[in-house]
Amino acid sequence: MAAESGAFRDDLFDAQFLGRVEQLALLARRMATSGAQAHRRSKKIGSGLEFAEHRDYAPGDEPSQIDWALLARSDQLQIREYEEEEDLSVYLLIDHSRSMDAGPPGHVTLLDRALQVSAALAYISLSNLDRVAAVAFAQGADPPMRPVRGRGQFFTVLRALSAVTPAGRTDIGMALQQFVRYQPRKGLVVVVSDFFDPAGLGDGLKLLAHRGFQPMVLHLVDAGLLTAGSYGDVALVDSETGELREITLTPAMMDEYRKAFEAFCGDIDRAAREVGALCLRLDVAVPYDDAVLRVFRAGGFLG
Amino acid sequence: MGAPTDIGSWLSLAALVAAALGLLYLLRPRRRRVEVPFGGLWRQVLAQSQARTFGRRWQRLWSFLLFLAVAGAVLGALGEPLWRPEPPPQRPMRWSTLLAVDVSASMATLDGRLPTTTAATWHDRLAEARREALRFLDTLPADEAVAVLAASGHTAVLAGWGSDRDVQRKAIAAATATDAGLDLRRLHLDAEAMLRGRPGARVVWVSDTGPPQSEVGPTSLAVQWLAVGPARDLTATVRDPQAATSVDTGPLDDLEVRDLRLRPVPGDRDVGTLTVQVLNRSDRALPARLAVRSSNEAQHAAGFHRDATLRLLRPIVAPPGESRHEVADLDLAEPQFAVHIEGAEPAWRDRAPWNDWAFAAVSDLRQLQVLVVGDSNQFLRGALLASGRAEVTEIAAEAFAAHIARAPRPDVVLVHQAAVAVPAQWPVWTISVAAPSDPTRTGALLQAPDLLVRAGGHPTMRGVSFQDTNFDTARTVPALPGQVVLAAAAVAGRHLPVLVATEAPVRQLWWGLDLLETDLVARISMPILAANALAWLAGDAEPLVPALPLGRPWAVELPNRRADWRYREPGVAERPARIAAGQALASSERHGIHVWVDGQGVRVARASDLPRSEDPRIAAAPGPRPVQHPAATASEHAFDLPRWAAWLLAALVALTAEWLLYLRRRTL
Repeated sequence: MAAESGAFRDDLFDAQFLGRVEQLALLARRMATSGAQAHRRSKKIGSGLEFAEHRDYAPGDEPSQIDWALLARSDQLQIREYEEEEDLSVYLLIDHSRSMDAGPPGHVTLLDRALQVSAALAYISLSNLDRVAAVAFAQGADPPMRPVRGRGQFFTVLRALSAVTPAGRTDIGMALQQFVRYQPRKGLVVVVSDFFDPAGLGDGLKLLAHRGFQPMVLHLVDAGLLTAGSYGDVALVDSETGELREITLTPAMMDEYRKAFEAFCGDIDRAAREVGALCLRLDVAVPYDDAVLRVFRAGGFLG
Repeated sequence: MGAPTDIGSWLSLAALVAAALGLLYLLRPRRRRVEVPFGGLWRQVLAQSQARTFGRRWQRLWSFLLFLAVAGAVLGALGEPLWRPEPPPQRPMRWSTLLAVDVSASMATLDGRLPTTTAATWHDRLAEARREALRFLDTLPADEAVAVLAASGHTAVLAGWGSDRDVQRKAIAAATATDAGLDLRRLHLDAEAMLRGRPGARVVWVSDTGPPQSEVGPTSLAVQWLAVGPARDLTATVRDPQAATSVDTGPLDDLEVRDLRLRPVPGDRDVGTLTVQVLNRSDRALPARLAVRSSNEAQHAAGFHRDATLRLLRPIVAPPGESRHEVADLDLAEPQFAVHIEGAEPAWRDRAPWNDWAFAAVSDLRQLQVLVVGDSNQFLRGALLASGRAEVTEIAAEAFAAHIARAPRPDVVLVHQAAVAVPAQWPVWTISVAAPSDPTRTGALLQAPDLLVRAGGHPTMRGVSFQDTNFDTARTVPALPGQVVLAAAAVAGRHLPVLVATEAPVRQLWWGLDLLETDLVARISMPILAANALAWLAGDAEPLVPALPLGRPWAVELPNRRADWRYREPGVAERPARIAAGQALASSERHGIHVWVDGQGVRVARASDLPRSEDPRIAAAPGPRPVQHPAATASEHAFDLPRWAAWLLAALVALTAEWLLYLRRRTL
């Protein structure tokens, strides 16, 4: 893969990164051919070559679709249906709210990690001849880029990702509403976010499922922020709203915060489970390639 | 730069450190800003921890208060030299000490063990007071101002203000006991005058009795009492005046002879009754012995001991509180008596021996002015004269009104076989068988009544019996409620009152008798009845001759106006008496019998009365707060912490507490 000149963030997508995503793509292909995972197929039943299932004959069906052999064997009038192979659309919805940029200077932020993981997944999808589009969202969803296909379009994706900067508050419900309002093709929607939305994630995922999309949740967390030596009298500043709250942090309070965070993660898992979506929690401390591999192993992306 | 060597430098250094710490502390409250990605989660956490919000507020409040304490203490420490300049440290505070030595007569009392000890163990209280005063003087700084005062009935300056210890020692050694009582009020006034305007004014009072405040009320003087005599031991045990009754003393300390009365039997001056009033301060009955001693010459306890004049040793049981014990039929041939209460157990130790003694002297009783109204007779006159106290004036009943208008009030009015209107508040003795004018006194006339004594314990019936006495007639006297039937006539199984007495509103006697209508027995025994009646009507319950109070000026009536009267004070050599207007003037604190004798051998003897101030519990009760001299307690005040340093220490303590709280919040 040759590097193409363009305006994308060198600190995230350097040559090493590009080489690593190439390795990940090979690894993904190997995993697919080993039978562990098949090429991702659409669920659409149509006129493809792969037999999918039988169904009862209904008036108006083409006689050529009748399984005559079955009729001869069991005297049942069934129609043979085949899977219709088509290009898979992969939408990478990346949260770029200010909470994704929290952390001390020099620290790898959630947004950095989200962009890297998204780029890697995009490359793999492009290598798999899927259509890929990156969408940034915060309070609302930005207009999606035109889906691209083929490895040659990877830098288009990188440029789009490089243009993402932290801004705004998180409103996932509104963002997903706007996303579906653009009437994109059905496909896999990978939502990468910290999901710090007071309204929660459930309604947005249900909307995606209802509209025929297959959602996938990548929950990015920064465990380091939970254990920082921040006891004592501190002024907590909400990175999204700027709200100031003076409190005295005690170990007991930190324990309560951890419990609250676990409950919060449990809510995300439950929301994903309700719509049959894969939910994967990735710590920002985990390198992006390991994170991608975890996505592969969890299934749901290579398929 | 060398290390600081004195404590002041160290404290200054500590102040700087504290100020720096305080500055750091002031900077500390700036909160660190921590950016969190999701404030909503923290809101949730805070909501969950509402239950502990109260505790956290308290913690913050404590922190705030501690901060205020730190700030206040640091400001106090820094500002101390400005608003309260310290006195120059090289010049510590000095006292102006008025050393007052009690030289009243009681200070000549010999204290020691009775009676088997040798003479070497006896010492008087003044000697002990001198020792105490000198010992105290030696503790004072060399340049401290001291004045020495001798206090008794008046105050005398033995050494004026100065710091020459030799002069002051000589003055103390020259103090001698006087025969005067102690005038605490005068001492107080003189001490105030001497100390007025002097810095660090205080009185050091060396005495066997309490400091001046105990009698003259609250005072602004600082008084330190150096107790001598028995009070010294008691002050060592008495700490709380409220707990004075719970002093752990021996049983004898709880017993006291409060009063002693000697009363000759009417009609027989050689026999008398001794009444001893004993006070038991404990809450239980105590067995004891009353030792009655009599003598012609002995005047005080040692004298009665020396002369071996023991007459009677009576075991008693003294109930709690006051009790009376009578010794009857006492031979009064030796007119001076002493009663000593002794412990039932020889091992009992008495730390307050002076109040175990009481004294009495037989003296002439005062004459009573008796006004006889009505028909007198020789038997009545003889009876009155035989009583030895009556100066009789006889008048007719018709002249009574005119007489009382011009003559002084008599001690007793005797209405004999007459009916007159006597003023209501006058003691009246009515003897009559005639029908009285008072309708309430109208009674039946009895023929040859058989009289029986019904109230033998009454003072008028003491020693009286009507056995074998015949009366031709008698008139019954109706007894009203509250009146005492002294004697009654037995008639048909009933007892009809004939002799009646009443106490209120004034003492009065009614006799339904006529001496002329009795036999010789009654006529002869009439003097006893008359003596009893006159003594009772004249108020015999009160002391006939009051005792002389110790420590007060006396004016003792003398029977003549001769100028050669001499005064014999107990334990002191005889000396000329001070005479004025026919009275001997004196005062003493020597408990015993005081005697005045003229050149013709006429004697007047009066016993003294122990004043309440001699009660060791009163004397030992701490009055003013004892004042400790800095030199005497040098070890206790080796280092006087400057006030600003105390502020600083308080700041450091508060700062440490706050720092610990902060660390607990920060690092746990």
